[in-house]
Amino acid sequence: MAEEAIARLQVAAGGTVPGLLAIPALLALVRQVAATGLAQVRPVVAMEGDCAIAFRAEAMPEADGIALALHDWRRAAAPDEGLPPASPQDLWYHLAEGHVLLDARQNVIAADLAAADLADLASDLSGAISRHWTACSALSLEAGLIDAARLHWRLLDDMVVDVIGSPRRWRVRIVPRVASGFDLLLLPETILALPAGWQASVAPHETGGEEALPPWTSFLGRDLAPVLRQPISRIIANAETIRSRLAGPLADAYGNYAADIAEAGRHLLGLVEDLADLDAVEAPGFAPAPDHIDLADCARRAAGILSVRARERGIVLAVPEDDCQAPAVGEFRRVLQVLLNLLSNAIRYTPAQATVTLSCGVDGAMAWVAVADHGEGLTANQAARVFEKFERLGRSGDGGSGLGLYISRRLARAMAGDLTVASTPGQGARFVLTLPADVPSAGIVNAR
Amino acid sequence: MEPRTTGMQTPASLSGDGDAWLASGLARASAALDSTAPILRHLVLQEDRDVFGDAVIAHVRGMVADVARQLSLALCEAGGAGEGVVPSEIDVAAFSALLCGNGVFLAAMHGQALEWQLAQRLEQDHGVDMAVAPLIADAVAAQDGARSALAMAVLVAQSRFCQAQRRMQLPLDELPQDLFRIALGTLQAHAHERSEQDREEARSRAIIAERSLRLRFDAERGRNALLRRLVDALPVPRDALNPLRAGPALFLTALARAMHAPREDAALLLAPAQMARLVLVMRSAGVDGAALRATLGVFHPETVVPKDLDAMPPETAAARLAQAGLGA
Repeated sequence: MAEEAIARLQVAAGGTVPGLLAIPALLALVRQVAATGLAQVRPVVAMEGDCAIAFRAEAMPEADGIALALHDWRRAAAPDEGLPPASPQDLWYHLAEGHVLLDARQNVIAADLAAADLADLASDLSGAISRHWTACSALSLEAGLIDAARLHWRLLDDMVVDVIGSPRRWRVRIVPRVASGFDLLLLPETILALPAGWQASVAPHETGGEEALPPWTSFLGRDLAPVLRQPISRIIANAETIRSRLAGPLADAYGNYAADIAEAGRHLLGLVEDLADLDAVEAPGFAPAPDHIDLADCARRAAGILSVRARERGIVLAVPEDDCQAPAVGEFRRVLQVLLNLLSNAIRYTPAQATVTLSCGVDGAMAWVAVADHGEGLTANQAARVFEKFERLGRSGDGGSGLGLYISRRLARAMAGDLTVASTPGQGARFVLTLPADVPSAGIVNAR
Repeated sequence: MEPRTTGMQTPASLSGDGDAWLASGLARASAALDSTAPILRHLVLQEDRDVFGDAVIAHVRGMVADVARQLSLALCEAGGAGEGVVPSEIDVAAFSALLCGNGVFLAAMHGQALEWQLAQRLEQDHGVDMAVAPLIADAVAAQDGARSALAMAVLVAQSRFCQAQRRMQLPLDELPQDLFRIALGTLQAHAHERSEQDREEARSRAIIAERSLRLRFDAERGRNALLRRLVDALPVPRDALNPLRAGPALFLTALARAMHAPREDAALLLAPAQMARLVLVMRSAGVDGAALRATLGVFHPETVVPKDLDAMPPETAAARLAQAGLGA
């Protein structure tokens, strides 16, 4: 005797009804129960055609045979399908920064909140043991939910809430536990690096608004940039590996996609670096370390670094002669950063087969280095705006962040110099970085 | 003419450093060659697939790396680094190697990974909640205030343990006392590995790190200690030997108590190769035939236990274990 589902499985496995059990695992179970006379429960996976069925089989000895009861009948992954697909719940458990154990009526049993900005909620929950979790006053729930105790858990799942004491918004996920009760998981909905030494006491609701938080750029620059650098570099490196087919042959289209990924990654990395620099130059205590440097040497080095990129575009870089010197006072690394920024702009906006000229000299108390290109040049209006933060002059999609010149000028001024531009539309632009001359050794040495 | 050297002469000895370097390198090479065959045979035959499965090994590695990361972090903080500092991968790898070098520590990590496997198996195949097992839930609801509070503490610790295990983490302050002491010992060992000129500074940093970690540690609050106390507080401690009622954590603690051995030994006892020993341990703890069969049905559903074992008195079972050199 068999009910319809089990009879179908029996036939699919090649048996008949009535007839010998055709599912090997069930047959073994029944034989064992017959031998011992003791009831047994066992998980079983059987194939019905191409479809794997999983269930829990319970075999009980009865007067004239053995009764089989099958529970939790469900479709299972076929045994050769490899790993089962990861369920989104696994991810929630990994991302959750708060975990609350609820009983079958959604009353709080215990809470474990790891994040520092959930401290208010943690103390609130510890006072709410055995009460419905929505009764927690630290959760700013809508008024309509006050009577939530009668709501089905599915209606409360996947809700976004504010938590008192936390600048972040939180998503509430409710996952039923295997026997009874629920796991309530708090997933951060806002991506935000907490500043080091964050204390719940400086939460916005107590200090009266957003002013208490440092500006967003410092989150990006100081906290986010170091974290982003490594994964982005890895994306670029892996994309380059694919593009150069180091890991094996590949269709051209995929190679090009990989090149796009690497290019986008480099753009992102450039942005991250710019934001980190922006944070550094805008910090109140920013001061470059002055040193005795030679601007001609800096110019030659910058040209050397970018020579490959210039050659790819067929651009000639004219550098100061070897005997030319322009001694100045400034931080070598920062001066090189400014020159690399000016030079890469010039290479980017100059038509192919043209010349970009680097020249330098000393004029009285100031030493200077200039980068002149033969691009479209800038109008007076554009020249006035070009040093502004996030100014792109209407360009887009070329990998710029609109921060390079702003940062460069901030750097120049922090070193007691300046960065200016002289330009005529149609004849190219000439950017000039001036720095205090290294006076004792200064003479009038102009080159080019 | 210069005398020519023949092939079998003792090679001229190098300076002390070079000699020691070569000697240790050659010893390692020879040990690696010796162990290749048994390891390969083991991996190919997969004699104990559950005990040395990929998931278990990955879990052990993850937990060791997590402890190593926390130790490196403590060192960074002892050196004055602020919040949010990321310890160097080199330090983490060095601590991992030191921790794995300690057999007791490694065995305990393995036991923990097996416990996690058991917890998942009981939950998936038998519907036993890994944190709120029936026996623990009953104890929470008990009229006995002290027992109920203790059971609640176990429940909280166990639920935190599960969440950490999902992430393959093992917080230092959750370690049992002896393992905590081993972990702290690696701080000094790590400092000792540094070059001559760094060693003094490394030592003082290790001491600071050790002190601050010790301050945060409370052995009595740890999960294992709580579990042991709860087994002792149960009206019938033997109840905890039923895995479907007690849940993975309490069951392993009770089993370890029955065999007078550490928890990791109890976790290993559930492997197919250990079945006969499991039967004797359960019998020596006074578990009767029907309960024994139920438990065995959970771990080894295909096995039929001979009926006459039901009549074996607990003392005989213990004597039989001792006779095989497997007793307490």
